[in-house]
Amino acid sequence: MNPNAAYRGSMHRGSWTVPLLLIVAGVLLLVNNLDPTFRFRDYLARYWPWALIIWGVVRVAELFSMAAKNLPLPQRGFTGGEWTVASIIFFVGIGSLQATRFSRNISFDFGDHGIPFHFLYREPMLRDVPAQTIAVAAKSPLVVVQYQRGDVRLMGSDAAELKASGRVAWRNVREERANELAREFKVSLQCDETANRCNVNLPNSREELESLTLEITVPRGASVEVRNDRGDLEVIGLNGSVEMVSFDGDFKGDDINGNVKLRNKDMDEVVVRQLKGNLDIEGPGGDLELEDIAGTVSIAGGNTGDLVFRRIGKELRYTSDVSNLTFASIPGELRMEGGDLDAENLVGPVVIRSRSKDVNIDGFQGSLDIDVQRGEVQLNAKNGGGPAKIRTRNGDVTISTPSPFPFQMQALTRRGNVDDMLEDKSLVLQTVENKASRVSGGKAGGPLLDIETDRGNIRLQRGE
Amino acid sequence: MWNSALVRALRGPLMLITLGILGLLDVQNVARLTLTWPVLIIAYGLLRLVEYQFRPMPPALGGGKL
Repeated sequence: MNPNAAYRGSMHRGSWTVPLLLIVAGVLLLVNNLDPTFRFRDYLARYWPWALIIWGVVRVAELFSMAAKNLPLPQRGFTGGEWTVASIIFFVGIGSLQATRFSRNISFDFGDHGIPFHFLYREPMLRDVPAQTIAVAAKSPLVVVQYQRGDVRLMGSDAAELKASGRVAWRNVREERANELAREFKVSLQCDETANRCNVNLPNSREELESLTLEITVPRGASVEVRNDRGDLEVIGLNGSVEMVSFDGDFKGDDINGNVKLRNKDMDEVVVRQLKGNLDIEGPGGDLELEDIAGTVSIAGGNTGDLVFRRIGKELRYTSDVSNLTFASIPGELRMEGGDLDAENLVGPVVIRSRSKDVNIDGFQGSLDIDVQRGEVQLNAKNGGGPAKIRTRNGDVTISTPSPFPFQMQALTRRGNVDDMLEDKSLVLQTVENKASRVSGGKAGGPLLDIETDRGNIRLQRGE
Repeated sequence: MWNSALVRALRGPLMLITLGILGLLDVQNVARLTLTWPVLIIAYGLLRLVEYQFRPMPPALGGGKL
C-alpha cells in the first residue's frame, strides 16, 4: 500500500496546521476589510516565512509523535495537498514582498541585528554625482526636476545660479563597473534663453542603482516642479510654489512662501512647516504633520498614519473614505491617532463626519457639527463656544461647561441615561419612554446645543 | 524510534523550515533569496545522505544447494 494512502487511511486524526492557517488567514482578511488602517499585504509580506517555519516545526513534532505510536508516516512528510498549500503561501508571500518593496520601497531594516550574513551582500559602491552649476538670469524661474528614483533636497539661495550635486550608491557591482556607471550618471541642467524655465534631468535609473541623494540649490524666488517615480523630496527656504508628482515619495517642506501641491500615489510621511501659501495634498498617505500654515489646506485621499495639525491659519478640509473634516481654522492643535480625534482650541464652522472615532474637543469658537456612527464625543465648552450639533449612533456624549449653563439645550438619548452633574435649575430632564431620556431648557437665547444619540449616555458636567 | 520511514518523512518539513528561514533572511534584508537558494539544494543533499545511513540493508544472499 502506498505510504501516503496508508497515512491518510490510518486512524491518525490529521494535522490541525492547515485548518489553523485557514482561520488565521480568514481573521486577517476580515480585519483587513473592517479596519482601513490594517494592511494585509504588509503583514503577508513580512510574516509569510514564519508560517512555513512554524508549520515545518509542528510537522516534525507530529512525525515524532506518530513514530512513537507506530502510526503510518506520510512518505515525504506532507501530502500532495499540503505541498500545494505550502507552495501557495510561498509564492503569494514572496510576491507580496516584492510588490511591497516595489510600490512602497519599504525597508524591513531591524537595525544592527548582529547576524553574520553580511558577506552575502556586496557592499554598495558610493560615488559622487559631479557638481554642476549654471547661472540663472531670472529671479523667479520655474525649475522642473525630473528623474525616476532617488531623494532630492532642494534649497533656496540668494545666488543667481542653479546648482546640483549628490551621492549615488551602486549595488552588486565591482569597482570598475561602479566607476563606469558613475561616469555615465550626470545631472543635466538647462535653462531656456529667457531663463524663465530651467530643467534638471537625471539619466534613467538602472537596475544597479541602490540609492541617490541629490542636493539642488535654486534662486530663492524660484518655483519648483518635481516629478519622479519614487523618492523623497525636501524643500527649504523658497519664495515660489512647489509641486510634486510622484508614484511613491515622502515630502518635507519648511519655510515656503508659495503654494504647495502634492499629487502622490503613496506618501508614508508628509511634514510641512512655516508655509505662507496654500497646501493641497491629493493621494493616500501615512503620517501627516502640518505646523504654522498661513493659507488654506486641502487633503484628499485618506491617511493611515497619525495626523497632527498645529496653528492652521485658514480653512482646512480633510476628505477620506471614512472621515470628512472641515475647520475654519485651528489656532490650537488637532491630533488624529488611530480611532481618536483630540483637538484643542478650534474655530468653526467645524464639521466632523466619521464612521468610527472618539472625538475630544477642548475649547471651540463658532459653530460645531459632529456626526459619528460609532464613538464617544467629549466637548469642553470652556469659553462658551457657539451652537453645537452632535449626533452619534453608538457612544456616550459628555459636555463640560462653565457655570451658569451657557447653552440652550435640546438633547435626546433613545437608549441611555442622562447624567446631570450640573444640577442647573434651568435644565429640564424627562424620561420619554422606557429607555429614552430628554433634556431641554437651558439659557434662553443662548447658542443651541443639540445632541442626539441612539445608544449612549449623555453626561453634563462642570468644566475646568 | 529512528528508522528509514521517519527520516524520509522528516525531509519535507525540514526543507520547509529551511525555505522559511531563507525567506525570513530575505524579509529582514539580511540575505536575498535570489542569492541563498542554493542552500535548499545543499539541505536536500544532506537529508538524502542521512536517509542512506538509515536505509535498510538488503538481505545477504545465502548459499544453498543448486
